[in-house]
Amino acid sequence: MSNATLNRRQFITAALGITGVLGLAACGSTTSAGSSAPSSPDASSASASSFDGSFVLGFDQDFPPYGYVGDDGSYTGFDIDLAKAVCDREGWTLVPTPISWSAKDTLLNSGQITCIWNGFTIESRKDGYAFTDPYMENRQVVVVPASSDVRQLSDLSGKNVITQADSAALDVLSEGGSQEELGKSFGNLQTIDNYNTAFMMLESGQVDAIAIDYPVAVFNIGDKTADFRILDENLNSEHFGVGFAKTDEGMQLAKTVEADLQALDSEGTVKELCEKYADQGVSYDLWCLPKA
Amino acid sequence: MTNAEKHGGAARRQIPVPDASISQILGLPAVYVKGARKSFSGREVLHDVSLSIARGEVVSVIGPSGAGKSTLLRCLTLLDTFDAGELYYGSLRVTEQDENGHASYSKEASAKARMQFGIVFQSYNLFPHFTVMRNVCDAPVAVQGRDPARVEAEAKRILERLGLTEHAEKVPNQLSGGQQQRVAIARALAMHPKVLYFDEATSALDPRLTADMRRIIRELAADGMAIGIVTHEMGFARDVSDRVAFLLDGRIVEEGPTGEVMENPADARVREFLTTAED
Amino acid sequence: MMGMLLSGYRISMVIFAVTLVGSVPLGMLVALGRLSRFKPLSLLMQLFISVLRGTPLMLQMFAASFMPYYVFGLKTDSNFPMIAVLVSFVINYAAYFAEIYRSGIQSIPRGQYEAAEVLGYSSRQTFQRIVLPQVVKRVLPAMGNEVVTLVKDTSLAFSLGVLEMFTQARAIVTSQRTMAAFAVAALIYWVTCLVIEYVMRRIERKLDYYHD
Repeated sequence: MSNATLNRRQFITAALGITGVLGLAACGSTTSAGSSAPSSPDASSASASSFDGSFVLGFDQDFPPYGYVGDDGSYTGFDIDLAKAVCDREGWTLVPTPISWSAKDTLLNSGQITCIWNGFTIESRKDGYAFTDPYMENRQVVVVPASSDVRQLSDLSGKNVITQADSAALDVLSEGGSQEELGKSFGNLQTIDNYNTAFMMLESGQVDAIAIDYPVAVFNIGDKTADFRILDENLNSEHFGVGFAKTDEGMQLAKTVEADLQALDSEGTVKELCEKYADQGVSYDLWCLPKA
Repeated sequence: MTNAEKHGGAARRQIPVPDASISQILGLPAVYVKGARKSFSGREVLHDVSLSIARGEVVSVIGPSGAGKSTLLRCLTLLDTFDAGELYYGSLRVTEQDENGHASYSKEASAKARMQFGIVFQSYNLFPHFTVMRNVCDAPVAVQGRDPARVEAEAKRILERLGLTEHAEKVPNQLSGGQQQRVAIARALAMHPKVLYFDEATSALDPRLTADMRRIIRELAADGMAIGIVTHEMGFARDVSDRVAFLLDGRIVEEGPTGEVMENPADARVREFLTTAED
Repeated sequence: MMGMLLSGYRISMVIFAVTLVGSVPLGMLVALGRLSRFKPLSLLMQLFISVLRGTPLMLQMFAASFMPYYVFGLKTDSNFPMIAVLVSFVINYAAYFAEIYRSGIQSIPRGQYEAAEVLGYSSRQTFQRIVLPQVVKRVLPAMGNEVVTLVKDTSLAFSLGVLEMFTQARAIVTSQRTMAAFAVAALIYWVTCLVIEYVMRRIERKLDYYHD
């Protein structure tokens, strides 16, 4: 039985099986999800050693701006455009393949996808994949009026802080988030449907601070840099990388892609792409792959 | 109040009527209008109309629709104003003449005059959210400031007289048209008017109820009430009235005792109206 | 979850109650002004009603919340969004109620006024004793619709960051990755509307002793 001919039913069975196992395992151990799947090189070596220039990119199609279905029905997004540029350099064929997010490890190890490239957070997954160096930072920050006496996160105790409902910043500050304690110290953690209103509230004095993704903050502050200030201390910071199977070949590919990304950066392509997606909060300020 | 009660108790019938007043002593008519004029946007609807109704007298103003009957009645009940002319209720002069010869109405005189008359509207205009009892008692208490218990006792007598006792706690829309009309009469009577107007008194009534209405009107007149009826129905006017006045094109063209005018009208137009109306 | 939702529900009900208590009488004043024979007042009220019914409530909330600062330069504080919500809701609903009252008042037959006039009622007495009670019965169904709409409109306060029930539900959905909070919130809104409809029906039945 070859993985290349794995039929649809077998795939679904496998995916469901793995999902169930991962789900159960996750209850007992926080590391199992990252470590269990790619841990048996002998199982994967047979199939994964056959990279033939078809760069199969696995992504969650509901994750704008990194990978999503565009207005014309084709797959698009910052990461997909970036991958396209890499493939063009290497002469590979890009095959964007939407995947069920919970089946990503199986697909990667079986060789059905070459990599996961989709705003893929490295933190807490380091051991499970062969990652490129982080190329993009995603961080949540706090914005206060320029005249505010708030200088650092601890000054926010007892203050009214607002953030967008459904936002990463709210996740971070809510129960179970990495800044849960900070969130609890606020006088009030309010939510709102858009940051434009939040900035008006901040300006007119109705809230003391806004918790927000960095690029969105930059976008909303615009040219009013004299009125607002982003605290130096981040709420949270995470990094995106391209994840390959943890095999020799995977590590080799990671190195190649990393070098290509650096090259794309120096020739200005990265900056162009950042600008293309700027209205969705992608900012070149957050590009963090060191120049070659 | 006490006078009225005394009077009501002493009268042959149960319906209380106004006490004797200065106008009665002087022999003045209960209502008197002289030289009344009214026009709407240049078109004269009432042209030099004069009319009076004495205590105990039933007077019908007869005429085809559009002759100005409604306007005359609206002006007599102060729902509208005469452009010129004099209007008296007993000794009360309601209109004053201004420097242009126009009639002017003072608030005080109008308010006093309103206590002199009542009207039974063609569509009755009862208050639908009030019971029959409340329809009768509300204005005497709220407007005249009379004692509620006494007003209620009197209302009961009026309702009994009009055969409405069993309907006292019903609302108007639970009653027939004839019953509603009698409630409207009761509502007017409770205010102790000296003049009672009927707008098309019998347009909605069957023959038996028409006969009832005739009896009620005659009894009220016998108690000294002045009754003014506006109608285009000759038969009822002939049966009930002491005097009739024909209003044609805004003028009273003939006026006099019912029999005389009806049997032998002097005016050709009245004769023509009578023959066409009798058909 | 229930704790957060119920604390949000309390705020929603404060918005609901204050709006009703404020706008029901205010709407009557506006309607009377609109029907006034004093032309400038009538025109002013007409403009008031037209603007408030012709612009989104959301926009009015924003105007109430941010005009003090952006137009008059007055700093506001963290309690202000709630005040802005209450003020804009009361005024907006007063405009809607005023139109309902107006059509109710104008539907009272001329003959009622004439009967009252002949009986000597003052215009105030005519309004209080004859017109208003009949208007109440006539406008009740339309008022019922608006009141139910009001329950749901309280969720608009979300866009000013007021912690009413819908805001709380969204926060819960975000943090717990479950739609259950939306379902529970929907159920609470629905039950509230059912209770209101029941109360309105009771009042309507109470006024059902007569038909006009």
